[in-house]
Amino acid sequence: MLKIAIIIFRECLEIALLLGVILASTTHIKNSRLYVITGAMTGIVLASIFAFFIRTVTAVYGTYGDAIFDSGVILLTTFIISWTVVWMQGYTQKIKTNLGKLAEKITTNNASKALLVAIVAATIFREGAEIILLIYGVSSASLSASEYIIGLIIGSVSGFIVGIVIYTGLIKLAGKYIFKISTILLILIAAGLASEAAGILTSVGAIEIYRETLWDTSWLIDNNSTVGKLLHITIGYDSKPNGMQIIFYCCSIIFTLIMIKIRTLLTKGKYA
Amino acid sequence: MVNFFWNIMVKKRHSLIFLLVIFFTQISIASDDDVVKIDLHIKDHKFTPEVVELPADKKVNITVYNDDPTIEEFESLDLKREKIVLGNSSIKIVLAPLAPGEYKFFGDFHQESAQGKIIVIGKNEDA
Repeated sequence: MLKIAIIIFRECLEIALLLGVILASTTHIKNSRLYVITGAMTGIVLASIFAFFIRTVTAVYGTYGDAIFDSGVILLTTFIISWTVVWMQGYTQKIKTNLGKLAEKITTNNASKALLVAIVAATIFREGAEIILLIYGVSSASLSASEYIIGLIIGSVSGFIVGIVIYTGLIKLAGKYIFKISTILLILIAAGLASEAAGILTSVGAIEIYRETLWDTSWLIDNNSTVGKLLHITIGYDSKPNGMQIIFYCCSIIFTLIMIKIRTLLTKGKYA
Repeated sequence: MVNFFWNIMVKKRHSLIFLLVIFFTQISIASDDDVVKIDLHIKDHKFTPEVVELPADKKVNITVYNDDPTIEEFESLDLKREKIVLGNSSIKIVLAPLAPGEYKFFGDFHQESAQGKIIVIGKNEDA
């Protein structure tokens, strides 16, 4: 029971962290909760379809191809997160210029709404398929179902609570620095995902250069320890990164920063 | 120039197909030689074999059979891969040639028992 709770909790942690940051940074947007919920629903539906698909055609489902698919989904998530960060910069500008009517919530265009839905959907999809398969596997095995259900509830509720803690913590503690802090967090989360994708691509052999491990800090913080896991989700920590992972990581950060610069220049021109 | 391609594509189609066939057979022969195939079984949340020795500079195809009715996730932080294995089914993992060293892997849902490692031996150490 406890074991299944821990597993579910671990799977929920990544969702909770990202959603906590996203929710905290979009509180000023009108109906943002609605888009987040829509995104969550879309993500759950997509994950269910994917889980069903993988379950039925698992034998046909390729070897090389699904590693590419995995890294594709991860890179897409990276891209959506970076895009959100860039878009957020534009709307902090909006808040500054609309200081007089701060009480009024900011309405956004359709593209940003779609973006908000997409980022939540992508996050839930990535971890959700695994949770669904896990639940399915449990229900098909001849094991005490009630214990698993209790474990499942404990795991998901505690994951949910962590999300709320992150959300309220960011709102309360970060205060006016909330945009800066969540921007930095999101940029690092995106870079970490880019590095994860690079890891898969080099491991499967799709990328054949810079595959050598550069350093090993597993003696300090192991990837599989709790601290290592948390650092992995937040800043993309890997104890044995290879060259390509570092390149992806840095490129993701640099690309986002350049886009933010362009975006800020553009919006400044618009509202000046 | 156009005529040249026309010649190759249409008039000498048979030779082109012939060349392509040779080309692809070469590739498949070459890749078959360089691939090491390994079977891993999960039973009672334990891997057999727990330690796998592999040569360096060869592609690796690992087939993971889950003989338990419960779901498992084959995961290796050193190999940077993770993949769900449903109960009583199998998955394949393709790996690019590995550098000599130790690579730990584990079953993510039963980490207390499902542990194993790949040891890659370099060509020089072999002798």
